[in-house]
Amino acid sequence: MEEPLDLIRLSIDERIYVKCRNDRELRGKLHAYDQHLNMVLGDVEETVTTHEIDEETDEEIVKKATRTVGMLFVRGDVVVLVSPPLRTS
Amino acid sequence: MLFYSFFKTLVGKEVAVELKNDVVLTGTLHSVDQYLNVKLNNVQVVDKHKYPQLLALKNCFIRGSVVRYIQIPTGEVDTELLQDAARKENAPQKAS
Amino acid sequence: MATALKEWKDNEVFVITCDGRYIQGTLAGYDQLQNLVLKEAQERVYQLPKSDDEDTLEMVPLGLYLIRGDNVAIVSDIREGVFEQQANSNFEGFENAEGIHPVVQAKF
Repeated sequence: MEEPLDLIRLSIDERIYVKCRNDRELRGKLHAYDQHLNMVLGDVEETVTTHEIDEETDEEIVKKATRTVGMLFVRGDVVVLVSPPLRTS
Repeated sequence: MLFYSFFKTLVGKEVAVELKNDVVLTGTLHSVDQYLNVKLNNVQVVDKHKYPQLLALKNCFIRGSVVRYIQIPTGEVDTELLQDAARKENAPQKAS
Repeated sequence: MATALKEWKDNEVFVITCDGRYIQGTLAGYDQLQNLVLKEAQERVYQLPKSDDEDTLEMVPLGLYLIRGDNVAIVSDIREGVFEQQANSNFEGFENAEGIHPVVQAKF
């Protein structure tokens, strides 16, 4: 393995974890990517985390919303990190 | 060029484009260019109650740089072919 | 697709900019970077959600306008009758409306 992106090449056809900007996380099967980290993922689960401040108690409320998408193209410039398939520890 | 070629195979199909301003537009993919700018025909705004001012959209050009995601109809994609194309596109330079 | 905007040359279009503004005008010129020249441009300034205290829509004349391509999010032709119908119905359906958010881009 020579370059960082070679790691991703080995993850084709595997489920990967992608962290995106704006507190968005994706889990899905990697079908394709390019040098910009544009990607196509299959059977995607997206989790969006939102933070709200409760006006009365001043406490932070963290909400997670999850949705599934059959196939998704992800633009590379929103990608923060990519992690290969999670191995059971 | 992988995704440019890929999206060209999806011309005429229904896609949903999610923008970095959280607007989601669905429509028929009319064309795409090398910057992944896309043109949609017969556009519908997904959240009409939130963005009624966008109901006037008919056919639109979306700049590639403002796209976050594009949802693709699953049945239209040969995933094996796509994976092979991706392996080829990203093959180590020394391999040849 | 340098020709993507060709079919709208000299037609009435609207542009959503990356800062969420809504500009309407006649597409007098464009290039491959989506730099646009709009003739008789007007900004559609919406006060949302709709309230009884102020006008929901104000049209601000801008004259001849050049929009730099980097700031363009959407260019669209106009579905006939929609703007008229919305104005004539006193913006029915705008009760829960929101302005278009700015595009959030990564800073490099």
